[in-house]
Amino acid sequence: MSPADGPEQFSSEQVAILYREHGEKLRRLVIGILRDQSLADEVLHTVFERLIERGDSIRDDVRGWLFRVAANEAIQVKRRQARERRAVDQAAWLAGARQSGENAAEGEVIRDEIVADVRRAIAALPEAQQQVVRMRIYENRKFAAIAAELDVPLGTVLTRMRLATERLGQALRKSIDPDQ
Amino acid sequence: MSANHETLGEGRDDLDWLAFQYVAGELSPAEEERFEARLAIDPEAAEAVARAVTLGEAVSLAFRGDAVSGSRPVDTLAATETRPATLEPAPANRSSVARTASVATAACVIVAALLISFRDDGAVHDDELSGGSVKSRSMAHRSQSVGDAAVPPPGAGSDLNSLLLETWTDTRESVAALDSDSLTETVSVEVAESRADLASDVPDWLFVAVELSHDPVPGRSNGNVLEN
Repeated sequence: MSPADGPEQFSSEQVAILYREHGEKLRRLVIGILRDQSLADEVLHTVFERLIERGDSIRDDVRGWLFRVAANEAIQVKRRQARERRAVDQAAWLAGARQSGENAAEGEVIRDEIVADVRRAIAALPEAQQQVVRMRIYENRKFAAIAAELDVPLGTVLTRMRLATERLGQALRKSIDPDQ
Repeated sequence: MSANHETLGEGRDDLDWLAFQYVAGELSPAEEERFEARLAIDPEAAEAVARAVTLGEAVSLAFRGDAVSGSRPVDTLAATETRPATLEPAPANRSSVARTASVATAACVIVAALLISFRDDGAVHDDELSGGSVKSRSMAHRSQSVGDAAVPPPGAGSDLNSLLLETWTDTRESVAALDSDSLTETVSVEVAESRADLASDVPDWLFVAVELSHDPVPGRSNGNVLEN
């Protein structure tokens, strides 16, 4: 979607459509950078306020603009937080998963059928990969700690995780968009 | 540790893996800074981060579902540091979820009460066989008529039977309400076409911000009241 030619600002319907189309992905991008749900909401708010302010000056792809602005804003906030010595040490998906439960009104809930598809995909993984996925994502242990506990080289853990994420990523994409 | 994203022929999988490591906090500080510089200018990298977060959420929920079902007890960082992420439905369904929960609770109470009354019934049966008391026989009669809320069982003055009747009445009302409302409550995942549909999924502050930006301010040429 692109703004109309000329100094036209986005209408509320246009902004709402853009929010609907890109809001959740933008939220997840920002959570991925900040690993903090409430900060992510603030950044998202800022991004769309900028869109409303400067809608008439956006010449290129609006989607690309939104992602660049969101990333830049989140990185700025992260650096500010680092300077303020605020420790944000939790996995991004924990913040995101909490969002799915707490405030589903403003975000896209990961549908039950998607979770079910991912669960099946996990079950189809080799046992060794399942174990690493569980320990890294669900139990939030670092790769080095996993390697130490399993008594395998770090490279082996990384390889297992990478192969697993490729297969799970394919299952997830197929579940979200079966026509893809 | 990380894949070198600067090598030629970096595919989507390579970018996704790099994004995953970034989201997981597994990159070194230098790698992280380099990736963030890329994020600022590369929407594809940004989308890869969003995909990584989505994948992590879905996997977490998948494992959490297994934990809730009792397949494996979990005492994890995820469980202790965050409120459990549950597969809660969209807000439009929360009232029906509450009703469903009350129905389930009521059902448990009824089952428990019936089990207790069956035990009494069993004892009564033994009493009857052995020529038990009138009181025991009346207890047996009450337990048989528990299912009919319209006709209170004779002598239904006991706390147990009052609880059963009250619970059964509430349950029937909740089920009736659930049946009529749940038909109209669905989780929509398609892009809305009407303002009403948009408004239901878009936060209010967005519309307020748009309205403020469109309000003409005397003395300003572009009418934009928001400052850079």
